[in-house]
Amino acid sequence: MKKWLAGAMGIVLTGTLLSGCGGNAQEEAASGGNAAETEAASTGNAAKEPVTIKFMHWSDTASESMYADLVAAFEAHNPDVNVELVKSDIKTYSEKLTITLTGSSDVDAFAFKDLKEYYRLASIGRVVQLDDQAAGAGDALNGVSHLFDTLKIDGKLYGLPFRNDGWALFYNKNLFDAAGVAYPKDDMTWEAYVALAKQLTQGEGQGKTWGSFMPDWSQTWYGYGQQLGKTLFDEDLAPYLRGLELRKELTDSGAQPTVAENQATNAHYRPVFLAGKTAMVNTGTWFPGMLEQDKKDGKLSFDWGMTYVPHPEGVAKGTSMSTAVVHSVSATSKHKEEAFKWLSFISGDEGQTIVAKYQTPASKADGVKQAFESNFSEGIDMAPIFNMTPVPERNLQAGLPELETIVTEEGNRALLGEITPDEAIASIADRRSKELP
Amino acid sequence: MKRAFHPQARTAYLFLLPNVAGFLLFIAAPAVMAVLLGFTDWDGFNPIRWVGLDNYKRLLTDESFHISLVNTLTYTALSCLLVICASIALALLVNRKTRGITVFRAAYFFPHIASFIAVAVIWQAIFHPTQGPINMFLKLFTDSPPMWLASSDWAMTSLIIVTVWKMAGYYMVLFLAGLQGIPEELYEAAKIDGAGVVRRFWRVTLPLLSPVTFLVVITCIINLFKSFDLIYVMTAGGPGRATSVLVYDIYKQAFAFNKFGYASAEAIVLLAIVLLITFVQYRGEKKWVNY
Amino acid sequence: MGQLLSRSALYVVMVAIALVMTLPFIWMLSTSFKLEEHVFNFPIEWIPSVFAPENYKAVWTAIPMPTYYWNSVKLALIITAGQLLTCSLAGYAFARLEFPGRNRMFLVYLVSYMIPYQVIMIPQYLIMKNLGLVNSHWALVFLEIFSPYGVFLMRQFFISISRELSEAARIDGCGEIGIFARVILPLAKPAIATLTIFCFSWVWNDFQAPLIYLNDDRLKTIPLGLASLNGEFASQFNLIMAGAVSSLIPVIAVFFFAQKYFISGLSVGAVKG
Repeated sequence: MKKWLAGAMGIVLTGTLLSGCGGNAQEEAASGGNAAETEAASTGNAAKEPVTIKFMHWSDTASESMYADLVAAFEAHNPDVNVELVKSDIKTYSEKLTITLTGSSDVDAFAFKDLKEYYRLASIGRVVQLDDQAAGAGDALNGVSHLFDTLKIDGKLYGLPFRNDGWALFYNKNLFDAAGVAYPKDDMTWEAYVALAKQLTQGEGQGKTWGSFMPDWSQTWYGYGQQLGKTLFDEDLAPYLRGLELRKELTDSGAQPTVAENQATNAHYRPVFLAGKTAMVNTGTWFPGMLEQDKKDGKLSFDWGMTYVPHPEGVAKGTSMSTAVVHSVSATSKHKEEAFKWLSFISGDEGQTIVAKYQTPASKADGVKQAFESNFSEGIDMAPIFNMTPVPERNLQAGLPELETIVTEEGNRALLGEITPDEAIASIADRRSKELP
Repeated sequence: MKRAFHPQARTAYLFLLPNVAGFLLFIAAPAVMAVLLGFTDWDGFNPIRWVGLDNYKRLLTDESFHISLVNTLTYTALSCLLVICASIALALLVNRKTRGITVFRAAYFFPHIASFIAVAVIWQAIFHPTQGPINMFLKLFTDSPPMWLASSDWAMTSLIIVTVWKMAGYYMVLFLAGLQGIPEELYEAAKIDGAGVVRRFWRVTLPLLSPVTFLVVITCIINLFKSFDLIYVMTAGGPGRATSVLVYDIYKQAFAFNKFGYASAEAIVLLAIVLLITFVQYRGEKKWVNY
Repeated sequence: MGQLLSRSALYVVMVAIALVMTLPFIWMLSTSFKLEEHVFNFPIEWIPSVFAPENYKAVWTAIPMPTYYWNSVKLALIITAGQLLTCSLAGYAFARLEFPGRNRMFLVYLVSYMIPYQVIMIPQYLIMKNLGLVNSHWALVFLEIFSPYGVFLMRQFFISISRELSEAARIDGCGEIGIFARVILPLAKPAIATLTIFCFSWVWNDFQAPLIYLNDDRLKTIPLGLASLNGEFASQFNLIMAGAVSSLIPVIAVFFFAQKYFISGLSVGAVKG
């Protein structure tokens, strides 16, 4: 009985491991060959069966109609390729993507929620290197090619930028007017920002309005170092200390809700800003799109403004962290050519013009810019979105996922007041040396 | 006696067949695969490479693993004790035929079926450091009440409170089913012998409940060692790593860092611990379980 | 008089505990009728100051709720029935039949039950993928109906039923299947009811497995619907809770239905004293 059991298990196990995971290398090689053949076949014989590619992305109402529009436009140009959308909700997207891509997968292309995820899967070769194809696409990708350098891992490109977001400062004009304070300047240091936030904080308890509201993300403090052109992989982490101290001063002085309070109420900057409970919000450049939607829904009852994100002393105005939503082609796809065709279409001018109707596009092409600007009802200055000087929000190198976890954990402890900012930075340096591969 | 087995063996295999077939394919096989992965450096995609005991050697010096191990043991031991006490108490409370008793039973079972999102949101609000009901009350007595989920010292306590709240009703159902099986005559007999309420509980209820208690202790410990969802939604292992338990760390290694092999090795250590504890209990089964 | 007093004291205690236990439900219910801006008012507003039943309409139109409901009901019923069948059969064999390798096999069951789901998730997915079961309800059915926990639970209950009953039936000429179906199963109603409640509520609330295995909207279940609401409405807890409340009714119904067997199930003396 026991032997039989062990034997059966062994067979099942070997079978699955082999077909599921171990066989990847061969499969990859084989499908690389297939892609070339498919291409040859498709140019040689125009009347062949249409190919269906599967594209995975996360969905909410806005992106769902955006992708639907994109598919319709793409299929109109490419009758021989059909795109099937596989969607998942945003909160569990990374998990679903990871599992779907384990071993081989029939998903041909997909979106990455952030560059950490992109790095994680690109660095193990789970997605196809795209340098040659991107170069071969000629002018089609001119609008987004300025972002290629920020997406290269060891000099190689693994994905096409689709959306591009930097950081900006948003403010409630009515609260500034009521307080008799001038609107935030476009050239402001973080010290000046903290002082301004304190000045605008009023009231107590239920009726309190905060001067500043930032998400609890660690970028809100480590951005200071990024703006100085440093990276969290640098030997010397001192530049980051000042950022953490200033971020902590904001909450300690009561000018911004504490991390503890935000966690307890699941606070999100959008409703807090809409309720007129904060004078300033510091977040990504996707926010104007949300505000415009809220205005249409009748949830926005005041005038808002947008300007460049504050910066450290001595850094040029308009320097902002920048990050992209990237799309990549699966290494086990059987239709790599078609998948790339789809990705380059939605990152090209026509696709990006459609994207601009919904979200911040990656493309800098004039037509795309105009399409994006036309979303906004009155003359809001789009310079902070289009004219910022980008610095990378994440540096794509080995150990990025681990480092980000360490930075978040230790930074949070400092913001909760359990350790001092000094100790947090020291602890990051210490854990970095031990835990990074 | 030995010959008496075999007439039953065929029937037994027949009874087992549907479950065992599926079990081997869908549960045992993946489990064995997970164990084997612990000796590889698999990243979820590239061909598997055997690395022998490397993963285990790394575990010895991995600080996150050590923190998670200690957290897991603390969390399991304290929660298990409290959950069992609470669930026996609840079962005794609702083991009667008063009017509306089913409503109470449903109410006590309720936390188990409530969605995790709702549970997390409400408890986070209850633990609110300044305006939450608990601290509003504590402020009457002290100037600096605990920060609960936002404090490394109290986050584990907060989690245990929520765990007991969520699981007590679940095991109450098991104890209740057990209590229903204790014949009324035994209580009557004990009463006649002059045993009071407390004595009847120790002499009649507890011994007769022992098979169920055995089941509950084992499943409770196993479930607590495996807890993931509650921690994931309430604290995400924080603040810092204060509530990071082994399963959470395993999940992080696999899904955030692509270290499927390493995560499996960690899981095997977890498994070994649970196995040891269960084995000890099984050994003790004969001593305290009364069939 | 004294009895009345202790009786009412008992009720006070039971009501107090019930309130603590159902607090989130009360909060969910109350939140589901609130306007978004009132959700996090402190101190908590238990009765909404402005009543907003339109939240329910918003939720039921935002996602294909009827489809999700149907899928959840279908899966919960099939899986519960399947689990009851396979687990009670296997549990019976482990508890009451003698066969070589019994203890070792049971140990394998116990051990596999100890492995956290997060660990076998990936290998399991690979097996399902090879069998072509991904993106179908079958994956979930096969995943759940062979539950080692169910076997363990049934075994523990069967083991406590008096041996004399089976012996008596055997003398009357009953076969093993007859004993199982006519003697033991009727006595195991509380165990069956327990497993039904556990299994149904587990499947009903299970999020991770459907997340992994289901891609198409037409196959998705309620927890996935709630999660997409959560993504859709960011922090609009009034809408999310309206969805959560809508999803609870069947589980509560099953609980009420099954729990009455706790009482009527065991006849006096059936359990060995």
